Formats: sequence, structure tokens, C-alpha cells
Amino acid sequence: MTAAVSPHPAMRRPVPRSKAYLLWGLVALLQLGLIAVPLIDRLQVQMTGEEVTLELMPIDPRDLLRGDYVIVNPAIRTLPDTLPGAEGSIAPGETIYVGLSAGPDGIARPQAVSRDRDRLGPLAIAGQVVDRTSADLRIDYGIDAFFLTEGAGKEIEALPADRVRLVIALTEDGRSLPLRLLVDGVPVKSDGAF
Amino acid sequence: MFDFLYQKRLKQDLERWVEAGWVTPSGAGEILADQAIGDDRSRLPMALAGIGVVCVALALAAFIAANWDGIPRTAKLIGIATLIIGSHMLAAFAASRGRRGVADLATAFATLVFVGGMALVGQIFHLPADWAGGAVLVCLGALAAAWLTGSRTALIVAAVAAISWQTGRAEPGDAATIEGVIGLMLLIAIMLHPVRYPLRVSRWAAILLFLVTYGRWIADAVGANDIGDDTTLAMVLVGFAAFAAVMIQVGAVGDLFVKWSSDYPDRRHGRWLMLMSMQDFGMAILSAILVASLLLSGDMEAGSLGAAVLQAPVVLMTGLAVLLCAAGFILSFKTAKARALFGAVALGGGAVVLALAFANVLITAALVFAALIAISLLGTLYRNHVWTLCGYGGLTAAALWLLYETVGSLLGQAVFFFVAGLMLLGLAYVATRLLRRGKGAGNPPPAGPVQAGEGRS
Repeated sequence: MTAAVSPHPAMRRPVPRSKAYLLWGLVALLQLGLIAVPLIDRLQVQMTGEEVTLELMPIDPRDLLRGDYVIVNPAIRTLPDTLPGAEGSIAPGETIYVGLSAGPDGIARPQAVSRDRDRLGPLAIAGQVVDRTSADLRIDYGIDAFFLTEGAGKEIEALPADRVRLVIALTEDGRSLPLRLLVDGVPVKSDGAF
Repeated sequence: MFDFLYQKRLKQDLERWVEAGWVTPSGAGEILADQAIGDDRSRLPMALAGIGVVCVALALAAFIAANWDGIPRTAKLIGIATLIIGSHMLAAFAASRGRRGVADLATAFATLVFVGGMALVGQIFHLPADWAGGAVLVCLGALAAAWLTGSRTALIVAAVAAISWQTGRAEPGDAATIEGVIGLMLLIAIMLHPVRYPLRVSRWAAILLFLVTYGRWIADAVGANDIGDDTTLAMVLVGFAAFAAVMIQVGAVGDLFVKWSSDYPDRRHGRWLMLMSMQDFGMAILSAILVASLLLSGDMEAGSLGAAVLQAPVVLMTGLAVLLCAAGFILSFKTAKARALFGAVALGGGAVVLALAFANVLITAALVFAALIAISLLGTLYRNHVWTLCGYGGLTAAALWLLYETVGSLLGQAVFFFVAGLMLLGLAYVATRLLRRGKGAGNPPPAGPVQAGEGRS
């Protein structure tokens, strides 16, 4: 076992006041900056994105740090091979865009798939191909978690899937952010970011 | 409790040293008086405060996770930012008053609140669970605190975050190159911190990260090259044996190098403490790998070793271990004690390789027993209890396994006890000669440089 190390005498010497506040202030700024990186990106999506409603399948798990949430499994997560652009050489790991179009019921459904955002219409969501089978593509859009107050996850999970919808913010470049969870068209629990 | 045991032992030793004339009676009195004061050096208050800080940080994390809507989200974010700034300012104030322990704890608290802030942003914006991405940001924030302010506890947070990232990032083999470079940079930044700001726990955290980083390198090589199970196992056994050999030898070679260059560094300096901790970890890993070789080598396919040693993580680490061993033998041509260390390491590493090459239980058992006994003897020679314990622990595990394997066959048990008995008798003879020679020569302690693993409790 290594010997215990008593503090070096130099470590007990006071740090000059101005230097101390400068150093620790710099650390505080850096840490707040690191928190702000995802914050600014997500705020931009919320502010500039268009609202799109998706079908989903909620499942209730719990995150160690962020509490209860429902895994929102949007219907667009699995795309049939027959969708224009879904056939061909798209491989797992690739980033693709899925063109969406809202139906008469207000639900946005996939219309086409492309590696190039410009080939799709006004609504297109970016995602990463997780898996490819002979019949379909599985896509991860990064919108699979919706955080709720403690205990609320079980209530949402118990509801029939066809009553639950997810409203997302979708930017022109394909970035997306969950905004509201709807039950029978009425918002439940945490709405948007602010 | 350990302070009490140390003081009791010190009193006994001082009586003997005074009798031998090494310490004057008045000097012994001064030492005992100094020890009697002692209370300002107690680490108990800081340890309790450290646990308190962790508890408060956990309370904050649980509060964030509860997602209580009684407080608006904007207020929560502002609260987090205020806590971070306030804790850092408290740390700056404490540091300016010379209260570095308090400053360190306040910095650690701010860093833990920073982790909570990351979680809060993820919760507010419903970000998907991305532990790896979050871990990198946490690691960077904690590293900034550790290096800019010298905070040892923030370094522990950084090491834990880096370990989380290494274990949770992309599937082995995917994006291995770029992430490997990032991992290497994080490892260097974290390993160097305890050298500059010594603390035992931060050294252990940094060494654990080193271990995980190397394991991840092996996993990436396995994933990228689609390697089979037996070859993977051989890579793990040989790779980690070489890794342990490097950890043990780098400090010993460093000792010899400074001895020959007549530049004797401060014994308390952080780099030597780090090298000594690496030696302790190395001995523990080598002992565990020796036992694992004995247990697993019999079931492995022929040719696994050949395929394993061709992989970059194994060949590079083995090459480095062999180079250090050769350098150690050359530099220790006048130092029998150091030669024993390099010999024991060579025996240990060789035993793992030969166990996989022959896959014969008798040969493997003989080699593994010899290597573990050598480690135990080395612990005695260097007065390092950790090494002795590693050797004894390995020997116990290996003996129990061999006994289990030979139960039911009296002939097998006869061979086992015969080989074990002969080896122990032979090693007892060698150990007696070795220790007697050291005593006959007065066993003078080497002047100046720290001999690896020597003189530590």
C-alpha cells in the first residue's frame, strides 16, 4: 500500500485573492459554457422549428439522473423498404432524411427517404439508420425520450397507443425536438422547454 | 485507527533505534511529542465533509430527476447556474485564505452541480439517453476544474466520467481511431494530474482509467477484425500480462535511470508516488492474470496465442514490456534486488505466454506457481505488503483450483502435491540464500533514489 501523502507545504499557501477569483471564475464560466452547448442548440430548434405531430408507442422506463420518462417510439421509426428512396444501398450508421407530409388527421407520415435533404419537401426529419432488414429500415431520430414528473410515466404507458401523440419541433435542416405529449389531442404534462 | 497503530509501532521502533544509537533520546522525545499533537493532521473532518458534499450533490441529482413542476424550469436552470458560480466563488475565497481542503471540496461540489446541470438540460429538452456524449462533456468540465484550480476531487469526477465514456461509447470497432485519440488525450490529462497534485485516490482513479482504456483498445481491435472467442481471450491474457509488466517495470527502470544519472529526485514527489501505485496495481493484475491463465488455458484452441500476439494492442504492449525488462536488467547489473524484480516480472509474463503455448496443466501449474511464489518473495524482499498479499492470494486461488481438479484421482493428487512440494522446497532454499546474503552484506539501503516499492507501508 502506498504511504499516505500529507499535503505539500506549498498547497497550504494562500492563493493571491485576484488570482483565486480569476481561476475559479474561469472554471465556472467553462462549466456553464459546457451546459450551454446543448441548451443553445435545442433552444434554436424550438424557436425556429415547425410543429409536427407524430404517432407513437410509449414505454415507461426511468433514467438515473433525469427521472421518469416515456420512450416514445414513433411510427416513423420503422420505414418499409417500398418507400421511395428506402431501397438501395442505405446502410446502418448513415444519416438520412425522411420526408414527411401531414394527413387529414393532422398526423405526419413518411413519404420518401433520401441522403440529400434538398431532394425532399418542406418537412424532413434527420435520423440515423440503426438497422436494415430485407423488409425495412430502422431509424433513430433522437426523439425517443419524453421526461415526466415522478410517477407519471406509468399513467401514460397504460393508455392505448392510438390515443397518444407526440408534437415535435422540426427545423428546415431536419433537427427535431419533442415539445408536447398529447392524449386525445389534449396536451398532458411537460410542454416544450420553456 | 491506522494512525493509532502507526503511533504504537513508532514507539516500539524508537526504543530500538535509540538503543542502536540511530536516534538520540532527545530526538526520539521530539518525534513522540510531534506525534502526540497530531490532531491538526487528522483527515477525519475533511473525510466527513467530503461524504457530506457527495450526499448534498446526490440530493440535488434526485431533486432534478423528480422533475417536480412546482418550480419553473427557468428558475431551476438559474438556480443551477447560481450554485455553480457560488460554489466556485466560495472555493476561491477559501483558497485565498489558505484553506485548500475547503477550496477543493467546494470545487468538487460545483463540479457535481455542473453534472446535475447537464442532466437538467437533457431533461428539459427530452434529449435521448446518451451517456457517452454526456460523459465527455462532464469529463471536460471536471478536467477544467482539476487543472485550473488543482482540485484533486474534481479529477476523480473527471476520471469516473472518462471511464463511463470508455465503457459506454460506440460499439467496439466503430469509430475506433478518432475516439481512440480522444481517449488517449483524456488519459494523458488525467494521468498527469496526480503527478502534479498527489493524492492516493486520484492516482487509483487515473490508473483505473488507464486499465479501462487499454481494455477498450483490445475490444476495438476485436470488434474491427472480427476476432474469435479463443483469440480474444488470449489477447486479454497476454495483453494484460504485458500491461501489468509495463506498470511494474516503468517505475523500477526510472529508479535505476535516476540512480545512474546521479539525479536523485525528491522521494515524496508525485511522479514517484504515481509509479509506486502503478507497481501495486501491476502486481495485482499480474497475479490475477496468472491464475486466469491456469484456469482458462486448457480449453483454448491451438493457434489462439499466435493470432493474438499479432494484434496491435498485444504486440505493442508486449514489445514495450520486453524492452523495459531488457533495460532493467542492463541498468541493474550491480543491483541484485532490482534484478530480482525484473526476473520475477519476466517469469510472470513468460508463464502466461507459455501456459497458452503448451496448454498443458502440469507445465502451466508449475510455471504459474513459480511466478506467484516469486511475487510473494519479491514482496518480502521489497517489504511491500501489497505485493506479498497479491502473491499469497494468487497462490491460494491456484492451489484450490488445482486441488479441485485433482479430486477423485489419487494419482493426480500425488503428482500435484509432489510438484508443489518440490517447488516450495526449492524456492524456500533460494529465498533463504537470498535473504542471508542480504543480511550478511549488512543490507545497506541504497542512497538517494527510491528503490521501486521499497520502504512503504
